[in-house]
Amino acid sequence: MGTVHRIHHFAQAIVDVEAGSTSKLEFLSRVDGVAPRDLEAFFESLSPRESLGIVLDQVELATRFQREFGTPCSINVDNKILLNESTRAELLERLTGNTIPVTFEFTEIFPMPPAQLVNPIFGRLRECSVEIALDDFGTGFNGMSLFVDYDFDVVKVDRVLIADIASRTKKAKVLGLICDMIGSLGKCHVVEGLDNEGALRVLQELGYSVFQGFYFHRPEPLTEFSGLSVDPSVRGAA
Amino acid sequence: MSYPKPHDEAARLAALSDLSILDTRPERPFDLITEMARDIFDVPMVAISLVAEHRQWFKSIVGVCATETPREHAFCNYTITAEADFEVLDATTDPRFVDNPLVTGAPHIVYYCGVPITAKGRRIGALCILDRKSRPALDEVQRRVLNGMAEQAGREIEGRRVLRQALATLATSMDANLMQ
Repeated sequence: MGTVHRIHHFAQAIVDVEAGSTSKLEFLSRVDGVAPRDLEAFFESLSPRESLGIVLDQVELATRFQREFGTPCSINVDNKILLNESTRAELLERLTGNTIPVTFEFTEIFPMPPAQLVNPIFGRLRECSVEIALDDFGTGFNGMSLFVDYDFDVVKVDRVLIADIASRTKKAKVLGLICDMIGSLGKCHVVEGLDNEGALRVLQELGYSVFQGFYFHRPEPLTEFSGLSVDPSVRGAA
Repeated sequence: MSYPKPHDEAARLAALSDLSILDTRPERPFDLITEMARDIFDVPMVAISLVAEHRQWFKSIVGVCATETPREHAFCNYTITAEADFEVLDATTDPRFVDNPLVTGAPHIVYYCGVPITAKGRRIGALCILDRKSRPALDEVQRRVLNGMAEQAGREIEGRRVLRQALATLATSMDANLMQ
């Protein structure tokens, strides 16, 4: 039996500056005894069933949050849940009949099952009021095939693409083109990692309007954010 | 139920797979085409049908509540193998379709006219208009219009694929710090 870890839920606002409001909250996790830089490795070490447990806990929290405050929530979903047949089936079964809007974010850093398998699952998740987002867009070579072959509703532009944007005019032009292309494909965007006003001004001029980052909001424990009573999840690491 | 298969079936299926369009969400450009076809031809049902190995899947459909059917039931099998447009004026008297479940049961197809949708040089599916009653054959102008709409659907499928590739390439190039 592995070590038992307590997982604490945090939330960070995703802000729509045109609407002047928080459009969503992304749930983030912190784990007792695991340094922030090691979180990725920690979650990668979990079994598909443990990852599914975290997602289902967060779906429940998202449902409570949406009912209480009217703000939809966004949850990081490990690709391994879709790779495993049993957890894939259970995820769909547990969400059947769900009418509370929620976003599932999938990253392009880890392997994903073939698009022929995943796109129908995305279709079924949409029937359960789940919006599908591609996280970390623009990082790593895998991003090319993931974005091209898989059917996402939202593209989350990674922070690496906006680094130094205020002082790099050529990069800004390309980012503007990327914004137009995302819109032409009928997808929504979120720019991640916004941490200064200069970048916000440039990105707004380029057509971006939905942002996440320290400039607007630092992640806060969900309990403080909402006043909801949230018991930490307990997971055994592999 | 037997149906004709195109001579280039393997290459056609490979092209369809490469386009990554099967099982994707509804998209407005395709819904516009089916809605316009419904209004222009005054038919109750229109579909953009993509013919996969074992099923036909509808990228857009109006007038019928379905996302796919078994391939063996697909009228569009004949369209993607025909020399030109494929039209059936009364399926209830056509021996190829008289026992077809889409004729004997919902949605009770009687009239069908389909034109191929071509992308990556292959007939990946068809734009088809359908009715629950028999209709006269389309005239030349109507055929041109329907063919034009099918061509537009094919260009849209190809264009969106290219756009996704270009966007992914651009973003990846930026990550690699090629954009100083």
